[in-house]
Amino acid sequence: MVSIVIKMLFGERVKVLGLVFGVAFATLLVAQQAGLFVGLMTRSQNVIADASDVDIWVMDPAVEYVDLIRPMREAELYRVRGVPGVAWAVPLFKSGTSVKTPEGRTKSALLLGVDDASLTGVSPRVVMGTIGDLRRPDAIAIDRVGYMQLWPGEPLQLGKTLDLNDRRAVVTVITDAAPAFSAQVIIHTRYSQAVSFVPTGRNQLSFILAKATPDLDPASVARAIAARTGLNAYTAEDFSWRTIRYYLKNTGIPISFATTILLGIVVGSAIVGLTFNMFVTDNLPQYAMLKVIGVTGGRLIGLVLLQAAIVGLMGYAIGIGLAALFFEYACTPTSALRGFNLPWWIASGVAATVALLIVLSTLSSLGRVLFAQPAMVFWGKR
Amino acid sequence: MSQTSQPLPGPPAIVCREVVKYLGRRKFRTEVLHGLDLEVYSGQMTLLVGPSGCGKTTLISTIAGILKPDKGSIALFGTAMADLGRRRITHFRGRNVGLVLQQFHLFPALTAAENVAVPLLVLRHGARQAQARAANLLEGLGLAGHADKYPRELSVGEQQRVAIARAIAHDPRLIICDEPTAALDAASGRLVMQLLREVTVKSDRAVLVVTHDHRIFGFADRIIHMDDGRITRITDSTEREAA
Repeated sequence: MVSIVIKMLFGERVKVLGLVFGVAFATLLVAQQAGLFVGLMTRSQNVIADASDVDIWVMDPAVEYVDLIRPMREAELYRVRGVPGVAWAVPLFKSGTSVKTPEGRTKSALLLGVDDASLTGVSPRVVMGTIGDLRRPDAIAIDRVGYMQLWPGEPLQLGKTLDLNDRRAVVTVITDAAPAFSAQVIIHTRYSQAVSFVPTGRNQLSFILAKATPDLDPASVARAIAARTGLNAYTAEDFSWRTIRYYLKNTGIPISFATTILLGIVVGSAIVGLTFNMFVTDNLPQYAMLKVIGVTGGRLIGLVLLQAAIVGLMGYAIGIGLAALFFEYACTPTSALRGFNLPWWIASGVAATVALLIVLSTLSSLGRVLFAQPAMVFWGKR
Repeated sequence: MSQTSQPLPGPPAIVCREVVKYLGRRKFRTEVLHGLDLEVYSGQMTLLVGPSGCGKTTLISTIAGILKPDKGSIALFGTAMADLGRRRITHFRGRNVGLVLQQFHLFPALTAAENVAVPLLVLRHGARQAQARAANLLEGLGLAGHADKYPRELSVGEQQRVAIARAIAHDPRLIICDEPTAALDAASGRLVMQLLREVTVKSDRAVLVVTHDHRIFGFADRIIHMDDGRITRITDSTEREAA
């Protein structure tokens, strides 16, 4: 019977194409927009992601997310180091700035100053040079895409110089730093050098990065830090989610993406629903004939759902394939869209959404199939 | 002169007692069958005849378990249909009833052989076995070279033969034909009826043909006349020959 209903389905090629197109369209739109949205949210906490060795982030109590900076006194670093359970704690300077090449090309940049001694917080993905090269005078690490934007068309090369607030900076390391939310260029340098590149007020310490001793849970150490110092202290994961939640709550990004995703679902459902309804309406005499021949209502529903599932699978495969192609070819590691991808759980979520879309679109049709009167075959309704 | 050789009637295949059936709802509700009593025997071809709108199609739909009688009882081969639920009626019909419909209702996306195999697949026979049986039946009906053709590629007469093959594919004990000659000229109608007699009438099978085509009355072993939802007269071939 399965082969029979599959043949019945593909007997109407135009309608099948319409159904597959509807599902593929919805899949592509939802998967692509969801991937971009997740990528954007991931970008919002790129600094946290790159400092992969850090357990705990400590900051001024007024700071809600990673892009809000309220510098602390240097003394806070020593207070944190004194909290039991803290294995080590290092400073992090974070600031937005602009950089200029000798040729005059200017870009916005995210400047990150890491601990002079340990260099903790530099992206571990090094493309050229070594992290230790940051110890050289005026040394900076620049991300590969930032380099390509400052010197377009030129091969990656160490030793290039940049003007950073009238101070000379020398590229000694090229990294694959996680892309930032807004800045075009990501620069890592030593803490002592960063504060001289971007002079601020009396207080310069943006964050304190700490590690819990191996025998203690980072969350409990973070609580201890907060209790002892009066500062905010979060685990890296907690701080990532706080940052994401801040953007979700305070920007129009989620609404914009949610609207597009919802449109994809609604338009896809409408196309699939209408086409499937037409398909079922045209085939009602055939379903009625199957009932006359001895197919029960339940079995018939199963067969119709199988037809819907086949269409759904085909549409999903095409849609998710196109979305994967987009992320594969448009979001290469060297493009401005780097970091955007299609994680398995988005693909799974879209599959569940498409399944729901198919069920919703076919529900009304299923009722008509279930109550299709076999007697219609006698009265010649076509 | 009768065109039938008179087979001995077997046990009653269909027994209808005081069957009443209403169609329509509320103020349009109309009594179509008025307390109808009827017996149809195995081993015979029985014609159900009468003018349009007299209730023939309603009666065969009710006999086939497609419609439910509002009053009275129907038994097929000793099984009271009222005792079966909707699901079991569908199963019972699938096993025991073959239908040849006026508009054939062949599945357009399936080949002739696949159409014939459908009742067997519904009964969960293996695909290979069903295809073999379908090929045999089509060959027996002179359609050996047409097994892989789609209904749109067949003439009306060929489509009708495919419909007949589909109706007998699962060897049902009751075959119901609804106006099998309505769309055919006299010669084609006679051919179809000859074919129906040859391939369907068996001692353990009842064949009930609904028609108002008097040109085919000669093929019947028994004719049940209906008018206005009632059986008005029953004649058999010997009576007709005597007349």
